[in-house]
Amino acid sequence: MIIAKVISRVVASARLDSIPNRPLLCVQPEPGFGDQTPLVAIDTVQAGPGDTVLVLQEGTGARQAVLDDPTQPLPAQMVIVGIVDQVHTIFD
Amino acid sequence: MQLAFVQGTVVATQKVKDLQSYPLKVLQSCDHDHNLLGEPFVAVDAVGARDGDLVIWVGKREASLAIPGAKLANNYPVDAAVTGIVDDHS
Repeated sequence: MIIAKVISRVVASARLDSIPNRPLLCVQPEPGFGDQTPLVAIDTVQAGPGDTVLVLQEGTGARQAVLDDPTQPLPAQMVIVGIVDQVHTIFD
Repeated sequence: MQLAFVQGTVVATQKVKDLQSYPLKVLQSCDHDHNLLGEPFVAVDAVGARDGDLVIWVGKREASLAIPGAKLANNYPVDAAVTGIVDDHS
């Protein structure tokens, strides 16, 4: 998982039926968490622009987090699974 | 998923049977301000995007699930696929 900042909401009414009707948020990985390419993640925790979030990046886990029946196909890996309040590190 | 612009269409009448039913689009990823990133690539489009559209796409294994009818155990020879057409992102 990576930590990222939510930049915006992505509205995509025309989309695959296999993508559930949940919010899509454009997130920017925090420095040090992967290259800085913005990602579009399925939101499961009602995050909004400006939040710092935890993003899962793997298909099986994404199905677990998003689908009622995880044996159904889900063409996605990026799922927001948490809103980060604080991060304490030994480097602070 | 990521954001990308649809830059063109690939016509390939002679191709793997599984790819017969959906158009092939040339995409290039972009960032939040629509600056192009990386290199163009070809993605299967089961959503109906047009050239010039801003879309979201998925890569890797999950792209093989982005074709209607795909199952976890029986899917498609696809490594990049359009998943939606972006109306706006603000």
